Amino acid sequence: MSNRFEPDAKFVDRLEWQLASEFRRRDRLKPAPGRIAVPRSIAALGLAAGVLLLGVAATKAADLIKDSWRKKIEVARLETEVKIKTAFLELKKETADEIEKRFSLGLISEDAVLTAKLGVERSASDLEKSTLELEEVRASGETPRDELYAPLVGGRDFVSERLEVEKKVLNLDLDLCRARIERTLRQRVDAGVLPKSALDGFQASLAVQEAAIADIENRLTLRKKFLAGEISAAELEVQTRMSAAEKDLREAQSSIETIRPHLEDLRAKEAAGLVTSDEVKGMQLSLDFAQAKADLAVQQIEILKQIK
Amino acid sequence: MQEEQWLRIYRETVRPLYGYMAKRTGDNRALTEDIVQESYLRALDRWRDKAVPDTPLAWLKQVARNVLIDYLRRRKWDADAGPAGADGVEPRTPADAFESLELFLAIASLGRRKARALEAFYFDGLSVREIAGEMAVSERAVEGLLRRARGSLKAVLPEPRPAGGNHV
Repeated sequence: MSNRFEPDAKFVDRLEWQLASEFRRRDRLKPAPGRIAVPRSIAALGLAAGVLLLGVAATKAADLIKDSWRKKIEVARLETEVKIKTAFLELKKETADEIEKRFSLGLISEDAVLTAKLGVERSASDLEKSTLELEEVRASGETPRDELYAPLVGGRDFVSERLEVEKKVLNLDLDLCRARIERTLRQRVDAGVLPKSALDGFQASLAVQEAAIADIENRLTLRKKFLAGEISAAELEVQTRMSAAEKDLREAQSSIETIRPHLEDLRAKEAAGLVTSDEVKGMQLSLDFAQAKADLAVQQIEILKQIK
Repeated sequence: MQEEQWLRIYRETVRPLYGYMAKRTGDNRALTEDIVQESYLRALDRWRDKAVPDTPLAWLKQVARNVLIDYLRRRKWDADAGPAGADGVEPRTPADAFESLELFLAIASLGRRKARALEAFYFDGLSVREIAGEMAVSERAVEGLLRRARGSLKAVLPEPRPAGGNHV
């Protein structure tokens, strides 16, 4: 009876030790005044953004960087970018580990774990892309090129390699989206805890992801055909635009399908005095916008078909 | 916030916080320890950037309570879990503690005032007079509030399970 509702002494000591360590660990991660804390600090984000912006400006200023000093600057920029992104990836991994630990204690949902894992994968892909750009600059002495008609560099197809990285991230995004729908949303919608619109929103984003993946796959195929000499650069451009227009059309159609029932629902609520007319107008505007995007995509497809 | 201040607050609050939580979890040690730990980690996140609140214990209790509610709701949602056993798997939570958790969740789902009164009465063992003092209302008002709260509680509590032996 005496120690009922009393903590175990070992637990109290262990937690004190843990909290003291945690306090010091976070203190170490805090950026020191007047000095940039790299790696593992949020300051890395700001620095990364700064470096990237400077880099973009430098790159735009000189398309060709064969002059040794320009190449050196570009290589230095990308090396810094790779270092920052490596540090950032470490930070994300640490955060994901922490989240997983909390999940194993039953204190947070699995959704948070999936999101954290996706964050790690995104950072890893981001790093991979920068590493590829660095390798391309070192090999070619030129700024990295993403056009599907860009030539191979030292026998390597950097364009396709970067597209594959992009595709990987989109696939992960798609998996997460599906997992969310299956694990939580669908059950809750079926149980009447969430409105069906919550599911519609996720399904629309699923359709957008699928369209983006299909677009990348299409571009990869076109790139292969171009490199194999099966299509010319001019044909490649037409087909690339066609692929992009088809993607835009799929996205717009998906948005329309999602917005339409919402709008009808809102109109019914407006009639019952449950929502304001502004909300209905806002939704109508979203529908008009999606419709305009779809119309534009259809026009582009028609024009491109005539070129063929 | 300095490390000494942080550890001083911890030493002053850990026992009352643990006691507060243990009463709500039916003295389920593992769960209480997890929640207490999580509450301090959240405090560390919050207090390092913002100022330490005037009454850290009250803040910690509120956070711990929210963490427990969140945990119980999710657990209930994920598996609608009762104590296992039929399939031979050892339940993670003893049956009496589980009843206490169900009771806590049911109380927490009532209105703020009702939940506050019932928790103070059942979990913290306060008298009607003490609750009246804490809520700045008359004793009669507390009695009425408790009566109504018990009625609401009865309506939201799950039916006793046919198997399990502990329900009367």
